[in-house]
Amino acid sequence: MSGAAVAVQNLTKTFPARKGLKTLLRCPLRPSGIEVLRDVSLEVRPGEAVGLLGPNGAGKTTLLEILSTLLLPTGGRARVCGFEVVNQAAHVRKVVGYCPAASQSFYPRLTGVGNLEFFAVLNDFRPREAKEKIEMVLDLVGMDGASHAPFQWYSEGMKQRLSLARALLTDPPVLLLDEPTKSLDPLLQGEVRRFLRRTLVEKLGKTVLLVTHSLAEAEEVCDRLAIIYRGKSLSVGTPQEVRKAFGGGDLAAALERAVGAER
Amino acid sequence: MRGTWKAWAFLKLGLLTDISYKLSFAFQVLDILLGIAAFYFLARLLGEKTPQGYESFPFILIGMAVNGYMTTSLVCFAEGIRGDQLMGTLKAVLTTRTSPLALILLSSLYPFVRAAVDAGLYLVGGMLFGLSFGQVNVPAALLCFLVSLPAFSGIGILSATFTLVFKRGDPLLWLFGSLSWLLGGVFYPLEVLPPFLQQTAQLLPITHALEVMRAALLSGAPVAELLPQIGVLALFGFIGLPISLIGFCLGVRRARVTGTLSHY
Repeated sequence: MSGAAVAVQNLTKTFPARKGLKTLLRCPLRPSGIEVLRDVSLEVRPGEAVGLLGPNGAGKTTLLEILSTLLLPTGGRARVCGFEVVNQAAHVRKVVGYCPAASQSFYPRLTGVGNLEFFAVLNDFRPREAKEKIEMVLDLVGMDGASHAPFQWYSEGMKQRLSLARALLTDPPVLLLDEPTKSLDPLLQGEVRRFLRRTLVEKLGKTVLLVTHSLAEAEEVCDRLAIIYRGKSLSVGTPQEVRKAFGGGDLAAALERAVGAER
Repeated sequence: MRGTWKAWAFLKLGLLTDISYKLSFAFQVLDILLGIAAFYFLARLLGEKTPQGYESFPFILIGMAVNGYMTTSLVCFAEGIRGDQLMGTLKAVLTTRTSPLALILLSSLYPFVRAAVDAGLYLVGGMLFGLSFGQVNVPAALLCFLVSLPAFSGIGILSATFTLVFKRGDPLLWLFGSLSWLLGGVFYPLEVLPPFLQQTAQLLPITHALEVMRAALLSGAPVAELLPQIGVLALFGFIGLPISLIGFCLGVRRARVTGTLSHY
């Protein structure tokens, strides 16, 4: 556990829910809440790519947001590069690059480069250092001159790439990627997948935790997969192990069986 | 040094965003100049001097300038948070290496600079309408400006906390915004109010800021004479600012627990 890049132990997250008047009058003391993660445990080794699979609302994004310090867990422990996400949040932010699912997370009137410069300075870069680094990451994600156009003019694909570029700015050892190919066309998806696997994982040795709904992407990019359903981790293993654990066949059938057994 | 770069990044962000809406930017300046003209003619109609011996036009003009500055202090923090929530950038900035506390303070820099420019515009515009500042006490005016900043900002940061936790319906902004307008002495001297309202007005920082600013800019009052009001303003900041900063940190924590950081 100590050598893991990401270590999650019995992690739970319950969002407080408002009680209706009826419930409030009937059982005023009963705690109410929406349980999004239930005792999730997961370990990701340095340089490994792990895919988080599961239907919508399974708790995948919640797990990434806890690891990126945007959310506080209700119970359990989570560590990134040995730092606790609750008590050492500032350290965690130094070792994590987070690429959210929503591509609208930039200032629309600023150019792509202007946005990256802003986020680079917030990440303690000097402006000159930032410029060099920005050139490097834009090159890495394959964005050319369009990065000097205002962000609001960008296509979804460019927004996704810029988001990926921002996650890479600080050269973090751990990348938390939430559906990074969501709005991309099939050609671009393939390109990004190869970039994630060959460049980030194999060449740069990054640890990647990838949320995706694309099973082909999960198999192509990830070393291991974790199936999450209703906040519970159902299975963690290599794609072959996951397929075998749920009766063989392809990954889609295995996922269906895994989720079906829990319903 | 990093702090300076970060401050500059926020100033640049605000400026670039502002000037990208060129027409709006120009109209805001024009709005101030038209407002000054309107108040000039209104003051001519009123004609009378205030009980402190100030002419109506400069009295109102300084009232408008200080009120504009206070309004910015009250709303800029909450507007910064809300703007980031709407654009989806709040989570992105909160995953950077800059602390939430630094973020909220830095995000107010550009609005404060804009408000200072606007306040300056009021005074310069007033000069175009014949206003003269023959007896200005610049150090007293600057001191007033400096102690007003934390006094107003404390309320503004608490207001931002409300925005973060409850999203809308901030009672502080309503309370201080409306009461300052009514009781603070922006347009008329406190002496025209009933005695109990005059006493209530003493609980508002703008009342003291206006008294000091008018005395410093219109009659050149020395700092020693203004110390009681400056002391009250400093007290507002001394108590209000730490409370608001603690409140903001608790608000961020609360939003991290409830998962509502980006909700609006």
